[in-house]
Order: sequence, then C-alpha cells, then structure tokens
Amino acid sequence: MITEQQVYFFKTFGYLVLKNMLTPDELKKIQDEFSVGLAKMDESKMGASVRKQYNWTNLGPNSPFTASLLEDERFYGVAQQIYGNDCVGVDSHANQYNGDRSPWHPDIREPGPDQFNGFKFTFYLAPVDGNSGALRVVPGSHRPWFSAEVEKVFLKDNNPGPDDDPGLAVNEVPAHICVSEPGDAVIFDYFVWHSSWGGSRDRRMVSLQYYKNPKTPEEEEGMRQMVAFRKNFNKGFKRETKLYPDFWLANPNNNVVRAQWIEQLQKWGFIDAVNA
Amino acid sequence: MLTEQQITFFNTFGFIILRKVFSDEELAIMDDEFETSLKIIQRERPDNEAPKHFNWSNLGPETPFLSLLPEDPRICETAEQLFSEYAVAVSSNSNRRVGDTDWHTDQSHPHSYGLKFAAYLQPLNSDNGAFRVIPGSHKQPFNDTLKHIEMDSPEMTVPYYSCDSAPGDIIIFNFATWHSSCGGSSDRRMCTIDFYKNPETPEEVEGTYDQVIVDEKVYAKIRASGSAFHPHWLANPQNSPRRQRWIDWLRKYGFVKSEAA
Repeated sequence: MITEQQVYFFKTFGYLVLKNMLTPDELKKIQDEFSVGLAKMDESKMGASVRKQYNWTNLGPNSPFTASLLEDERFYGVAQQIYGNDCVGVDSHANQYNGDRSPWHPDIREPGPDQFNGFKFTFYLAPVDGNSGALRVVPGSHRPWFSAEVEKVFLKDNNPGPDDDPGLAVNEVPAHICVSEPGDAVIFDYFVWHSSWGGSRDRRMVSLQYYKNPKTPEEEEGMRQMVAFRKNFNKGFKRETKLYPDFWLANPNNNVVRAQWIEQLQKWGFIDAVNA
Repeated sequence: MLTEQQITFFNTFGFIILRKVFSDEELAIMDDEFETSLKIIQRERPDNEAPKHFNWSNLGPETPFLSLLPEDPRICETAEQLFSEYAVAVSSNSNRRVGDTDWHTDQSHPHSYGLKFAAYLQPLNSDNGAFRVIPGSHKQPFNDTLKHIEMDSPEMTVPYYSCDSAPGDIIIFNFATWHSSCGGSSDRRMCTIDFYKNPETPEEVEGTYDQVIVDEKVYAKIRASGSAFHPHWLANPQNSPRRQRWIDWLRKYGFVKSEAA
C-alpha cells in the first residue's frame, strides 16, 4: 500500500517510483520467464521504430508467475487506492528494447483523461539511469493543458521543426529521470509525457496495467474508444499469439478478482477486439 | 534574441537556459565588480553576520558593467520578446548564497508577472547548487497544486530538472516557476536582473502594487546595504529613453520612493 501523500504525488506529477517492490527470488522468476518469451521473438516481430521493441503478453502459460503479479495485492492494492476498489487489471506485457532512445510521447492522447484513466507499473530488469535508458517524465504533463503545451514543442524524433531548427533531442527536454534498480516499480499515468535516453540493446521491462472502471456516459464512451485504440496498437507488433490467451481466460485457480476482470474486459469488448 | 522555438520552450516549461551569452572578458569584469562590491559590503556586514542570501544592487558607479546590463540588448530585448515591449527592468543585483535554497516561487500575487535573468559565476551542477526547476510549474492550476505538496520532505523527492550551468550562461525563469537549489557551497555567486510585465488589467495593477510591498519585505531581510536604485543610475546621465521609461514606471508604482529621486 502507498501513503496518502504518495497518492497525491502520483495524481500531481503523473508518476511515482516505489522502491524494492520485488524480492531477488521473484526477480529471478520474472527474468527466467522473460527469457522464454524473448526466445520466441524474431526481427519480423520488432516494432516501434527507433525503440526497436519486442512486446508480448505475460498472460500465457510460459509466464505464470509474471501473470500472477496483476492480481498481487502489492500492485492491485495500489491500483485500488488510485482508481477505486472496482478498478480492473487489464494486461501484463514484457518488452525488450534495442534502440538507444524512446521518443517523447504519452501512451494515449484520445480519449482524454476526462473520459478515461489508466496507468502502468513498469519493472526494469536491470539498473537504469539517465544515460542507460531510465524512464524520463515531464512531471505533471498528464494534465490536458500541459500536454497541449508540450505538443507545441518541436521534438527531433516525432515532431520535428524546420531544417534550421529541428527541435529538441530526447535528452534536451527538461525532465525528471526515474532512476531504478531491479525490484523497483515506476508507475506512470498513460497521459504523462515520457521517454528514455541512452538505453543499450537488450533493455528489459515488464509492465502491469490497470484501468479505472467507467462510471459516467463520457467514461463509457472513453472505454469504447480505448477498445479501438488497443486493437490498432496491437497491429504494430505483428503478434502471433492472443493478447488474452486461453490459459489466462480459463482462470484455472478460480481467482475471484480475475473472474471479475474477465467479465469486465468481455463486457467492454477488449477480448474480442485484441484477440481477433 | 530568442527563436520562436525558444519562446515556446520558455512559455511551456517556465524557464530557459541560454548558453555562452557572456564572453570570457565580460565574465572577468563581472567577477571583478562582484568582488569589489562584496568587499565594500563585507566592511559593513562581516560574513558571520551575513544571511544565507546576501543581496545588493549593481546600479551604482562601482559596478559600471553590471549597472548597464539591464539595457544590454541581449537582456532587455529578450525580456521584451517574452513580456512585450513594455517590460520593465526593476533590479540588477548581485547575490551571494550559502547552502541550500528551499522550494519556492518569486511571485507574490497571482496577477503580478516577472522574470529573472540569472548568471551564476561558478560552474554548477545538481550536486553543488545548480538552479532546479519543476518544468511547467509556472502555470495554473499546477502552480497552486504544488503548495499542497511537502516540497522539502526528506521522504519524497520532488521531481525537478537541474539547470546545470557554466559561467557565461544565463538562466531565465518566470517568477511563478517553482525553483530551488541543493548542495551549494558557502559562497555561491550570481548576478540577477529582474523584469516586470507592465500591468494591463486592474488585477495586474493590484498585483504590481502588491509586489512592491513584498519586495520591500524581502529586501529588508536579504539586502546587504543601500537602496535598489542608486541616484547615479536614476540620474540617467546618458539620457537613455528606455531607462527613463523604466524610471518613470518605477516611480509610478512606488518601487522608487520620492526620497531616492
């Protein structure tokens, strides 16, 4: 669980670093499962431009421990503190990055935060800092007015200016660097602008993702838009396996929380959309 | 002069760093004038009586180069780009700081708008006192939200960007941008020039009058000696139209008291 001050920090700045959330034994299991998943990747599945990224789901039978983290009270409990007791665990991904940077971006632009709220835990499996691929954020940029301002700034990679003033490199944008050690969790709001700089090949990260349950007609519309967003996003990685494998959907241990989540994901249309 | 993108950067993040504005020769003069004026001050206020933030005006005859900096096109024309042609220079000061500076803004009233040019006279990084900002924190409602954070809590580090700088660089920041420093030595030296936006609305006029009162209280604590506006500077011996406009404005709003004219 996190303190009220930490919840306020997250809502103010759009991110939060939690130290030592995983034990060395747990990290070993995650690394082992990661390696099994990575062995199935080949260059045809690499996506995301300069990030040179492989991305696959952790919800399959080869990563049972990593999959179980989504329901782990250490993480689900934090999600409930931030988004209410009925928030939904929606995904767990593994990512390997081979590029030297991730350009600045928010994970979502539309629907906006008045219609949709979500965040992810990220666990980097090696120590990372400002020169080796640590997540960078513009604190507070998850707020719509701030995000709109950042959109106006010329960025070399993805919003270049004219030839004589092409804009800022990733490391020239004023940012806070989320230095982390294996076991630390870096949580960030989907709308916060983030990037990385200086990462080497084989930079490994796993994520857990949670959505706020929609309550208003606007939020329900936002969730419908998210279904479409995720369906399109999925195409960029040329996946061969379902994002919601039958293994996870079968819920072999009859986990009550997972059962509720599956019901919600089906109701919203995610499972049909991303498994198609 | 700033490019369009630099102006966008400043408006988005509340600050900007301009590299190598001053030449080595100019820096040598700035160092000499700083040292000369510091020695004068120290005869009146020895170090063991000096506050953590020691401040004095550069507008006197003993600091000729620093006294002309507000009218240097690199400074005033940049201020006018950011705050319109009616931006007013209200101070040119030297500052000697000791140790850390807690998080704060320099804005006293929500409708009082100012910006500061800061030139540090030593190389600084995040470990030895470089200027730290929370990017974008000059904007509302972010600015107000930060008042409810325990900014100096040892348990949680406020996210910041460190404006590492070398002598010759200038950091320009909006008064409303949250800023601090950490790890500074007992002799951290900087020269600053403040500009205020000419008020255009009744709220801004009220804000400007409020800023006068706040400035007086702040300077009462940190001012080493003397007034902000030396008679020599107020006399405007070169008949500079820009300086005269500033002096008239400063008198109008009460920054220059009648007895100092």
